[in-house]
Amino acid sequence: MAYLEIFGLGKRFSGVEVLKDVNITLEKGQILSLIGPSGEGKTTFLRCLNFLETPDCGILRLDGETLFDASRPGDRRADRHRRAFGLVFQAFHLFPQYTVLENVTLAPTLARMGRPRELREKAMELLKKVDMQEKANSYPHTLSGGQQQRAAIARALAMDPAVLCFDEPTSALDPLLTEEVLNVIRRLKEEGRTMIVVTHEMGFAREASDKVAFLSGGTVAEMGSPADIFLRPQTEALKRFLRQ
Amino acid sequence: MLREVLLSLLGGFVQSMQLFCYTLLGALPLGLVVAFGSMSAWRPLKGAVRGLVWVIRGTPLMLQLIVVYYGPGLLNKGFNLWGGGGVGRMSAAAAAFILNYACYFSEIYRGGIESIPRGQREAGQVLGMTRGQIFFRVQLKQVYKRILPPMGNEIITLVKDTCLARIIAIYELTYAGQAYIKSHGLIWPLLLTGVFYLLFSGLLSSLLRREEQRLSYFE
Repeated sequence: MAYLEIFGLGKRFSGVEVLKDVNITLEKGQILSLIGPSGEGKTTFLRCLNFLETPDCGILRLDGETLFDASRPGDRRADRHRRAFGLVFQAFHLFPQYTVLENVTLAPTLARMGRPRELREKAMELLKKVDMQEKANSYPHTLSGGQQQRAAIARALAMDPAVLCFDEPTSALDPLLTEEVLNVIRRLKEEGRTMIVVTHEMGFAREASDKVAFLSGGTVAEMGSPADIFLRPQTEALKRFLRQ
Repeated sequence: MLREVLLSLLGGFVQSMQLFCYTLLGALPLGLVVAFGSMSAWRPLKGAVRGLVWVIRGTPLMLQLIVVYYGPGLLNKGFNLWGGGGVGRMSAAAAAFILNYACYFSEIYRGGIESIPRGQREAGQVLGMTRGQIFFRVQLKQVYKRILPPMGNEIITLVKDTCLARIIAIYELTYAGQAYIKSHGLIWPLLLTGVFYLLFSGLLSSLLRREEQRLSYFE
């Protein structure tokens, strides 16, 4: 039994099927990269995992426990398991009125995860991990995009999610800043964090992930090791996508 | 003479200030309630609230003042909702002003709330915050910063709108000044009221500017 198991996930928006029958499994401590053309459901999939959208059908299981089952009526508006997942957005979405440190401590403080002092110390450790400890007292608008994204990663880590998701974390960044963010993700992998990354960085997907899923037409068209996907693509759609 | 005029104008100023303060105290929170009503997902409520805002914003405040003051007694003979004398008149004026300004404020609140990017709410959601926490700890300060300039406009307009209360015989500042035209044939007391208005709105402007400056540490 895999750590994360997703069965038959589906989602429609006003009649249009955006996701259909998505099946994905992931082992603990692994990185799954989601690749595929724009507008084929990658972001919607992450939003479903994080309950920003409620899936219309499907089952979500983490570590053997069923977090969500669309056929259970109580789960339809459930977000009680939201904390199992964390999400890092393409556009960062830091809270502008708070310093970097306050951005990291806000959610754990509100969730009463510890004393203020402990939470601050833990936040400083996380900022150190993403190489942002010197910017702890800066406000977001004074930071570069790469710095903002690293702060956002620290903020997501502060809730200690079982699975951390990234929605095109580097699409808003230039190549140099992209590298510093990808390095942080590589470091988190070394620490054994389970992650799902939607990315257009094919180099990163090939070299850093344990598993790659190709989403096309709202479903997983192909899934396998990076070597399977990049060296031995089976479907026409994937071959076409990789040629671009 | 100057002393007498100043004392009389000061009396009028106190009346104007009372109405000003009651209106702000009532309309600032009520406006937020109206704003949430006009954004409600429940269509009947949303429709009713937007209808109310349309009527209030689309008719003169003076008309509303007259209706609020005389209406209850005329609709129901012998019924005195507001009580007698100065207190009754001030209560009626405050009620009309609060309703009017709450509707204007509600549109400013709504604009401010809707201008906050959706990502702020979603970032709070994925961090496990409740709706209340997201509103009070994430969105409110950003809304406050954005609505401060238009709010400042309305608040300064309110200073000058208080003179409408004379229509139901509240002895406010302009009334106090104008009285000297009739009684002594003097125009300068009326002009002097202008100085009162200018000083007070100047004070408000500088307070608002200070507040904007205080919030300039974030974008």
